[in-house]
Amino acid sequence: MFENIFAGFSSILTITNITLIFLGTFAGIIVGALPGLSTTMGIALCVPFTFGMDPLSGLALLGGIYNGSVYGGSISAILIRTPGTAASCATTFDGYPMTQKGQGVLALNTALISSLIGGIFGVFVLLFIAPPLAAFALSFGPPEYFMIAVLGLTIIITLSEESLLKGLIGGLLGVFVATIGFDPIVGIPRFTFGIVELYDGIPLIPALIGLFSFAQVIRLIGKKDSIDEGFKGSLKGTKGNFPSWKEWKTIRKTLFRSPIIGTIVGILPGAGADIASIVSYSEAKRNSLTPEQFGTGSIEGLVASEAANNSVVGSSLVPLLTLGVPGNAASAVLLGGLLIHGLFPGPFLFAENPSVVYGFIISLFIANVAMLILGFVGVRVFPLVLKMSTSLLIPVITVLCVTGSYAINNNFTHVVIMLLFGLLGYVLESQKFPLATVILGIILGPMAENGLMQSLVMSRGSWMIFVERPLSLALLSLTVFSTVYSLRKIYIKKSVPSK
Amino acid sequence: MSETEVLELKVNIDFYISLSIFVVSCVFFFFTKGFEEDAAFFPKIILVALGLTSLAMAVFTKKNIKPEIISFDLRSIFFVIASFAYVFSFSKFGFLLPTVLFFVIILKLRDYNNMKKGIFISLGTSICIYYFFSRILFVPLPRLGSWF
Repeated sequence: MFENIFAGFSSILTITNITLIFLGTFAGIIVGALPGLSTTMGIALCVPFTFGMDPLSGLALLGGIYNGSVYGGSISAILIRTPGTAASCATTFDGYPMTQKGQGVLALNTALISSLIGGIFGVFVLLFIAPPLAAFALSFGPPEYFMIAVLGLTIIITLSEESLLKGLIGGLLGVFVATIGFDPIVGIPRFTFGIVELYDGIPLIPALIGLFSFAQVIRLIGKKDSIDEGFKGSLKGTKGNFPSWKEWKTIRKTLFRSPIIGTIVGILPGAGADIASIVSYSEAKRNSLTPEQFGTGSIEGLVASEAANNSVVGSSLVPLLTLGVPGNAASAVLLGGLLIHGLFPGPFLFAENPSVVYGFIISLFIANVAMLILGFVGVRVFPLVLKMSTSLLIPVITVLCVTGSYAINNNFTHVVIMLLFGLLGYVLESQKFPLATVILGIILGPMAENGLMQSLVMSRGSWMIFVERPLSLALLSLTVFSTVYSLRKIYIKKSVPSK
Repeated sequence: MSETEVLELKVNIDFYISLSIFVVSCVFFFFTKGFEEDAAFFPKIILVALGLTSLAMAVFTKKNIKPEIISFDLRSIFFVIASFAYVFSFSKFGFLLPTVLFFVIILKLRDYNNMKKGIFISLGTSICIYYFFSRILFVPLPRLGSWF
């Protein structure tokens, strides 16, 4: 194995490949930062450019885009509360409040470092323990996926400590929205009212953009025309722009835990960086000594989201490279890239093309370094957007929201959906309904429904399937424990008289 | 438009939101009657749960929360209308012209000091966004006359 790793190193370390990795990472960061342009779109746009390249160079470029775009989503999430990709939706919860407190540069630097640590961890896992992890991932069937979705939905309790009822309503609303479109089992359209564009369901990105970004812009329109205090002090130097020693001590456990969560979620086919970041965020909040600060600009919350979503980059390639099963949409497009270059993923890929495969994995390490360098340079430029007058920022953000929503499918229905979700988000958030629960419902709803319906088909209608399978039973026990623990915490907190 | 133009209402808004969600749940539950059994199963569970929680919230807020004064900045309402109008005109008249007009309207709404500078920035930003999306990312944005 180590000979193959050295062979990979020698293959990837050429001027051309390093240049392509940097170019890909740069392009990925831009694509990720722009709302409406997804990681999948960025990779798909660049696949044709790789036709004339040798396989390793082409894959290195695509890997750079993949890695860069997941980090890039955090930039707009932190600065203008618009998640550039779905993977950064949890980053908005604390990233933007940090910007509002004048800690925008600190947030960007923290996100960059967390993304680096998460990204390297994910690639490390891919390099050294891919095959046994892939076998573990294969043991997950519909009952396990359903239980993961339910476990994820119990996060609603953690996210809605202020008002459990409001959190539940938000989560259920999100799950209901996810049922719009074709039914996954029978294939009939539900709640589409004859609108063809809704047959595929409510698209996630426009809904995200609307709930977070457009809703925020509606709020901003009434504010005074003053420069937003996005950051205080200088863009140069480290004072106030990097986590202090005290903050490092606070976040070290989260930095250790979040990449593990992201890796576990990432290896599961169908579970992507968006789920990883939300699950990680919730676990960080549950285990934090200061959970009340989450949602108000907690550096822990930001670290949890970013470390988890970047670790998915490497781990999502585990089922792809070892079994030929893409872990998410982005790795599905990468599968296309592999096939174009004559590489057939599966058990024999590592044996037949070791220098290419290991070279590709090592290119992801280098892509993380490229992300760090480009990110540090970018941190001196990105926050300049905060110096813009609010009056100019409002139409720019609105136009980006509209164009981004349109760009997904060249479809105006998506833009209208974005606007409607913006209104919904504005109304709900003004009455302290946690938007995070709505997003959680939209993301996890399809996984829950598919898992439940397929499980019931497998068991011919018997619900015992969820307790007969050991893994499903373990997840069910974890769900029950997690729910009871969270409810108990809320009960204790509310029964302690306030000072 | 002046900063102080607000619309004030004294309502128990939580009650009305939860009641609206309850009504919507009932309506959509009614729609599930027309689906096949398998297709209706999951949505029915969710709608029942949503209906019950929103009803619980409506009852709770009616009993325990007093109506409070909610103020709506008229500029926010106008902005939402302008955004919908912008999207409609974007689909009919292309990207550039409606985007520039939208910029100008928002700057006017916000009493922006230097309108000449604002128009210049509107034009420049619109052209940059158009060029970036359509030429670099190959996203075919609508052009004037494309709806004929």
